[in-house]
Amino acid sequence: MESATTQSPGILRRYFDFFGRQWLSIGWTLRNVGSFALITIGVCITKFRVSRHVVSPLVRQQIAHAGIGLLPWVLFLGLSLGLVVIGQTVSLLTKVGSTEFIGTVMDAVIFRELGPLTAALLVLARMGTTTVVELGTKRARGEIEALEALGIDPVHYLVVPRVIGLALSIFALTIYLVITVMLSGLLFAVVTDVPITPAEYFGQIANGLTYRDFVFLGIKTVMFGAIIAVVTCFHGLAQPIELEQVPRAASRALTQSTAACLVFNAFFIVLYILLGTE
Amino acid sequence: MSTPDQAQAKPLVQLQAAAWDHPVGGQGSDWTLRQGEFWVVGGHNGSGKTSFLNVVAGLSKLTRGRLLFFGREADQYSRAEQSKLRRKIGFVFEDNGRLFTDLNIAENVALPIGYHHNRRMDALAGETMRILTACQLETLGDRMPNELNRGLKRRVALARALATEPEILLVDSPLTGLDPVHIKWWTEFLPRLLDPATFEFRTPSAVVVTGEDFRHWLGPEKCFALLQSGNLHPLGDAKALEANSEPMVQEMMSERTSISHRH
Repeated sequence: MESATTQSPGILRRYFDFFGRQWLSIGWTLRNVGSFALITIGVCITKFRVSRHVVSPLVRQQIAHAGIGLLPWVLFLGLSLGLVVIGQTVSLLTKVGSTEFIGTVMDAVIFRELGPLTAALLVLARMGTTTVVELGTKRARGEIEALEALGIDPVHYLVVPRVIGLALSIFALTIYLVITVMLSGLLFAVVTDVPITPAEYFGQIANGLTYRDFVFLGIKTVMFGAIIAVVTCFHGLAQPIELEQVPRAASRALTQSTAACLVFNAFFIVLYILLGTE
Repeated sequence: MSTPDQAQAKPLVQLQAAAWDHPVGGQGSDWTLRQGEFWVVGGHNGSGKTSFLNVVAGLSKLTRGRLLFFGREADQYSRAEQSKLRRKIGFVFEDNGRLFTDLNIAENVALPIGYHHNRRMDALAGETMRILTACQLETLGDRMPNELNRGLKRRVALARALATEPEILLVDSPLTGLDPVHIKWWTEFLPRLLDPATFEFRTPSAVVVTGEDFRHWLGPEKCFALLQSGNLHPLGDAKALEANSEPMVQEMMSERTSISHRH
């Protein structure tokens, strides 16, 4: 009993210490990543036309890795999502005789939420670790100082192509994903004899969409790409790193990118609620 | 230190009562690099050779004193001007030269040209080949850095530094760990850079080399300096160096130093 009373303040204090440290760490990370993001935006704007013959091929390289390389996976996932999500929805709505809501559900689930987020997480899974390892190794080997010594801005040469490349890739992959899900949803409806014609199906989807959905989809996907690129580049590039620290930095970058994308997505959910969904 | 002609030459870099990041902490050094000069800065491991070159390259800041590039205070250069200033100062890093491991040798050399002149890298074969040929690397353009030995990697780093056509070339310990063949190549090639007629591209007008053994660099028209505890002590030309009785200078002129640094 006596030992319990002497130990409890210690345990409480340790908990406070732990949570305090966690909050401080989150605060520092937000501050540092935020500063890095501002620097990147600054470089994107001020050096938009600088060395385009060198930077443009790097953007294309990123699109090839993150976009084209992931296309088969996105198509496969789109097909599965269409069959699972839309298939289940269709079968449930058919039971209650409300097939006229298929398009609306499709818009809400795939177009607004699952499509952009799935494409972003796929790109993060493929490119996140690669980016941190690539840049972290460069940093550890002193290649960043070599770039600076040659008068080449490392943010312009290494970060900007990734930001543009990933933003465009996620945007394009989301479009492909949404189209595949729509088609596979229709396929499911046809195969399972759901009383809905393709014209009705696409009509419902079209009716459920507003210009706001397209604008938000564009902003969301581009921002997901920018967030993933900035967070992963920050962990690889913006702090002194030893070779053996690279795997830990990669895992931190993945966690933080995922969290940042989910928070950003939640912000859009709130925005939809505030603006009123149609 | 300098010949009368050199004393009239334009100062490229000036250090005034300058101290830089060093564990011992320097008292403040004065030094001027002028056009046409070839400086050999010696010092033991940990004497601050790399820190000194970083300062002269504008990559590190002074902790005290003044640093002037081309007659203008280093702090007065804006961010955009700093980028242009960097192009005027070529830097060859020690060890493996810090080559870009994802680019081949030709691309390593082409990158600074392409970036600064906004040209496609694959359209720079002519310029790249001229520099690679001068450095006797013309057959290695397609190779990747990890396929080369240390001596060749360092030579590629030199070619890359020359690609921006700098006015000043800084070379960090180029002879450390090299065999006699490579040492001979470096000790003959670097002084030749000050004779622009020898090359098909613009070469630097001043060279600063660091090292642990003065004997490889002995010869006319060279200036020597010693780095000790973060302080730079100019020693004069080769004759003054040979007459110098300072124990550390004597050590850097002895066989023992060359043996110890080769192993």
